[in-house]
Amino acid sequence: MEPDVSMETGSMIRIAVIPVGGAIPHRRLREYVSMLARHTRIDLSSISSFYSEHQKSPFTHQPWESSSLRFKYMVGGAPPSPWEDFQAHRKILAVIGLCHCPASPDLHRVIEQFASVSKGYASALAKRLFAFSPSDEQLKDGGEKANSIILFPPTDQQAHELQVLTMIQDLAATLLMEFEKWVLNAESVGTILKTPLDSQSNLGSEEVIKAKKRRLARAQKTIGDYCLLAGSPVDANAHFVTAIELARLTGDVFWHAGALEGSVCALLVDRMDERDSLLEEETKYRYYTVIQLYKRSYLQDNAQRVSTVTFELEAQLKLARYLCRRHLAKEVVELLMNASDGAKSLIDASDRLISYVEIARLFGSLGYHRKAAFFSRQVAQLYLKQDNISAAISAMQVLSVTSKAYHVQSRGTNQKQHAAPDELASGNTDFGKIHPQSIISLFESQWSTLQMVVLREILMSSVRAGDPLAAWSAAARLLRSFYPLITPAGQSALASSLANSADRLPSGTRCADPVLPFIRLHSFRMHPSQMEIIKRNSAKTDWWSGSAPSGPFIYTPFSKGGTADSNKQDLTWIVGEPVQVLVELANPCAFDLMVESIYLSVHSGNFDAFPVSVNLPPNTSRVILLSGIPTKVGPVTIPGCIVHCFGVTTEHLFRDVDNLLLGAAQGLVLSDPFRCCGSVKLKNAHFPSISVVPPLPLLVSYVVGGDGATILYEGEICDIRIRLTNAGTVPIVQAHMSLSGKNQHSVVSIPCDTLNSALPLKPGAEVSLTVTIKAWKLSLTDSDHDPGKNTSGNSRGVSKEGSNPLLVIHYAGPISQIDELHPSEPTVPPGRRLVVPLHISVIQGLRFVKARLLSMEIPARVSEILPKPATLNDINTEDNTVHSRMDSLVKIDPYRGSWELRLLELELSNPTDVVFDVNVFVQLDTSVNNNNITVVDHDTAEFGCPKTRIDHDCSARVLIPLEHFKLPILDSSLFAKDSPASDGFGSKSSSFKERNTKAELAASISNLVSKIKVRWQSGRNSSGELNIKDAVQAALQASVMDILLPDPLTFGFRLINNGSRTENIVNLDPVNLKSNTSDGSPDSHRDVIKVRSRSLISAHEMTDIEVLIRNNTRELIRMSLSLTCRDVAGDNCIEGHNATVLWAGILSGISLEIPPLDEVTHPFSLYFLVPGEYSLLAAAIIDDANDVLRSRARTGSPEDPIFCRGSPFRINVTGTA
Amino acid sequence: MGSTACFIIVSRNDIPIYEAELGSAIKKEEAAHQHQFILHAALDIAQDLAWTTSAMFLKAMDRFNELVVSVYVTAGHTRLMLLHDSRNEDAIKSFFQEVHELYIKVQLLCIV
Repeated sequence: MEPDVSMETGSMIRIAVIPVGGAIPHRRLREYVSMLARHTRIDLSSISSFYSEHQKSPFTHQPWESSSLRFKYMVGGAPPSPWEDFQAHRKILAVIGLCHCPASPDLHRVIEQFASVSKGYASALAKRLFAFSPSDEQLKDGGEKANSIILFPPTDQQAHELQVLTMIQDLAATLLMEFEKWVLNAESVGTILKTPLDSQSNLGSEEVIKAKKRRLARAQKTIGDYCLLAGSPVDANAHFVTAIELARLTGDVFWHAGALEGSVCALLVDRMDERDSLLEEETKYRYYTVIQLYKRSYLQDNAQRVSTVTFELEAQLKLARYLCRRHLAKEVVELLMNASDGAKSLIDASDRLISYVEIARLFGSLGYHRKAAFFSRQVAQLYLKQDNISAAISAMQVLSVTSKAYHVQSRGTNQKQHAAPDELASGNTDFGKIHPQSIISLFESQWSTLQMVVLREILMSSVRAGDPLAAWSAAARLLRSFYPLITPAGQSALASSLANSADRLPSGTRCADPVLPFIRLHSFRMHPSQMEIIKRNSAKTDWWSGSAPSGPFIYTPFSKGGTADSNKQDLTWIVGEPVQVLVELANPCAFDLMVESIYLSVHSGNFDAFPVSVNLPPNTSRVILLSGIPTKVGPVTIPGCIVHCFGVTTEHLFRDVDNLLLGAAQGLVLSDPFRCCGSVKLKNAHFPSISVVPPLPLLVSYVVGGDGATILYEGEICDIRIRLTNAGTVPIVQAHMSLSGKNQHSVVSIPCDTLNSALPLKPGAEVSLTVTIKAWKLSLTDSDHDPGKNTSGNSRGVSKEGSNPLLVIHYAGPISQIDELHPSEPTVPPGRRLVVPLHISVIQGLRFVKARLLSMEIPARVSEILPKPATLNDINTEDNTVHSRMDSLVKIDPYRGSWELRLLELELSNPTDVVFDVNVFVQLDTSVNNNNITVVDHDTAEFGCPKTRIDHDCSARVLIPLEHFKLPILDSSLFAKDSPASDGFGSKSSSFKERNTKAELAASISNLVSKIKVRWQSGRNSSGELNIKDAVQAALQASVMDILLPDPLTFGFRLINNGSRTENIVNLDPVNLKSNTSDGSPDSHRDVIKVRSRSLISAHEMTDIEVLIRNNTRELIRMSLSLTCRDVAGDNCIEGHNATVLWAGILSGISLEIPPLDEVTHPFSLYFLVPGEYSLLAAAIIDDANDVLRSRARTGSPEDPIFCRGSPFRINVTGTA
Repeated sequence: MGSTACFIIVSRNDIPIYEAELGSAIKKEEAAHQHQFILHAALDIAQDLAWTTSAMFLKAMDRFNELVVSVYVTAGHTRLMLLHDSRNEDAIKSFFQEVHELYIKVQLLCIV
């Protein structure tokens, strides 16, 4: 059986092409053969010059104008066929020897060799020896042997070809003349034509007679064959028709079929150009007959020795080839199926191989690729049964042809994968839009079992064929695509076969098919906050504003327009600044995977990638950081990674893995390699379009003291020093500093000026900044208020992550930079943003527990001992004064007495491990604006109580006296708020006034509150302030009026000893009043009350006492005063029958009139009968009280008397009873 | 000598969704692969043939050696393919119809 047969085969002249002489280099041989092979059709018209008609040509109808001879070159020659007589085209009719002169210097020997070789081709009618590239010597030598060797002197290609053509035409003419000779000879003499079918052994007389009868038919058929070869179909047809008739008559079925076949060939050659349905029908009909005839000629008795099945198969294949068109597919398929059935019964394995090859080719040209692949695989299996390398190579090649149909082809052979880089890029960006259907199409026809079998066979055959790269590629495809179906042992075996193949490959070999690991893009490292790039335009000078969301919201509806499609985010890389890309690797196999190097594959050529090496244990995945440096301005595309693994370098495209994962998500692929390695499902990372821009300045921050968070107690104030360095290559000419993030209020000051004064910041230059921070108060959510938890050290309230304020610095280089791409127009390079988080960890510090108001009454004491010189007149000795005042605020001066002393008690607890010293300061720089008496006493702006130390896990109470806050005058305006709204006078004006005064009052309250400051200090460095405003305000809210407002009347007692008054009591002149009120009303009280007694008051002595009554209002007050004295038991000791005190003067019902803001005195004398302690009390009933007094006394009805009572005043009486 | 059969359901995307080696012949892996190869190749012919006939059952539409391929094409172009060596057409047809019915039931269950 022969390959490549068709119906026209019968008209082809076979010419053996044999290389002779020294070994011809491959390239040369191919060149010479291709030169010959160009001339397969030699027109008769072109050979007429070489043709000479010796006798009358038997080809009477030869169309010299249109016909041609057809050559078929059999390179390397062919063994003689036993069926030569049956079909003349099976004969080798000419022999061409090819000689490469440089390889064979001795032409004589070459001629001899050719002669002996060509002797083997008995049927050859013409022999030629072509010698190429002869030397001059050889040319000279060859000239003598011009008959036996044809030399082609070295010349240009065109001339060479012309020479060859001429020689071929000469050969064609020779052959034609030989055919004529043969035909004439055959017609006259007749030859005995035999086929292997004709039995030789039992040549009985019957057979001989039969053969004689058949001889004529056979001769006619053979003459027809030669007519065909000579390009004369009409003549041929005539002979064939005769032969058919004769053969039918003699029952020579086989030759009948042969003649019929020849007639079809003649018909087709004759009507070469016009192919119509009629011709097709005719051909089809005749060929089916031919097939039938061949089938009939199958003889059971000599089936063992020789079979006509090959002819039947050939006829079927020829017809199939003739019909091989899509609309006739059904018929062709039927023919091919029959042929494949027939091939089974072929004895010769190579015949079966050829028939399968032909079937596969025909199915392929019909478009049935799976069928073609199936038969190709059958061919490969037949090849593999032969145990030699060339068969294995053939098997490997055939299998790699089938790999496309089974969807396991190597990427190297797949054109689609070799797309241009820009196409790759577009593929990447359009990836999100892939239609689900097209995803399915990617995984169509996945017959995993078959694919694995095919790949295994390719692997096996390429190992046998000694092609390590093909073996590596097949093993790689097998492992990568089908690892879930392969046992761990099988996976390891594949790994070792990969390693074995790699051992036989030169280092640095590249393969188109990736193995492991699976690589997917994890994410792009966006510019860290240190390097963020902000677009700016020249029109907007404050380009930094609005560049970042300043609020706490990541999403704002206003910024939506800009970043609508987050998948399409653009990345900007900067020349010379390293960038990082995160990729995830997965090794789903059962062996350790050593990735010798992996780096980003960049096709745009403006990126230097840094390789890393990774080791992946079995069934693991890992995210690794791949980095590189952009080197040139322009776009960058990163389609994947270059991986050196198992000894071979491969490119892994992200897109492939993305498709695979999509397929896995839709259940089209067996397994997701990442999921089976335990990696979390990742949203597909998309490639932004990356562009590289020229260098920009780069500010790098360094927080002095390290990046660790500064641990601060709540309210602690500290400085953070930040060092900024320009690490770029471009100076910074513009900078702007702002705050962002949470707890911005805790930043007390930012050093904008320091930074601006340092500009321009040259590359490498450094500037140091100081930011002052006051640690914020932990909110309830931040700290844990559970006392049980608070006791344990670490779970104590600590500020949460992300609550730090951020220092944002926008900066930019000079604008005059020239863009490389557009040198004519200056562009504005983008600015950058540096975000320095002010890492502060706020821990719970001194804790404020509660505040409450205490009021106490301690009677003033009258004694001989003078109190400390707390005279208000000594204003010259300021220090002293201040000191005494400070003292007086905390301590209760037993001689001074007290009257409704109000104290603010702050309870503080210290849950920390350190000791806190607490200092309470009261600021007194208040301006009291009342009745045009404005007093600002700056000298005594602040004074504090002594430090209170609070140990850890302890709490303490701090008392703050509140006398200082009393207003000096009781004014009607203060009671505006008390004017009852229920009066029904809710007119607008009144409500406005009311609001106004309310606001005033609120202001004075908050003023009061803000005067109190609790500062703390802990250790050497920590100090801060406790924020207790709200708590204090809450504590004071209820009784703020009592604290602020003075009583309408204040009472005081003083001793008048021997008729001499105490000198310091004369203080009612305006100047003194001023100085008094400056300290607030309590001081004026004190002045009144500060009773000086030279010595102790003794019993049985007349004591002169004076009561002072002061009017604190702006109205004249009329009143009725009464005085009492009580003993320690609280009994009235002036009246009653048990009176122990005698008196002189009036003690009750004293009618007095006190002018506004003035004082009156009323003297009296007491005589104590019993020594001991007594309290003096003054009380008054105010007559005709006005509204102010009424509201101060909080009485509703005008009839109620207003009763004023002074503080008790203590007198210690000594002596003996 | 046992009978050989290989049954396979191929989705409309040419992906095999079910495969079963039936028959009483001694099962060899090689043979099973060969069966699948034959069925895979038969898809080419079934694909063309399905459009030329209104019948769902394409009897013995392909063969290789002694093995015959019969195909049943459902309305959704899912193909039930049977590779067999016996020629009992009626039995094969009713087998296909039964499988088709079950296949539809399973599909409905999936939808529910």
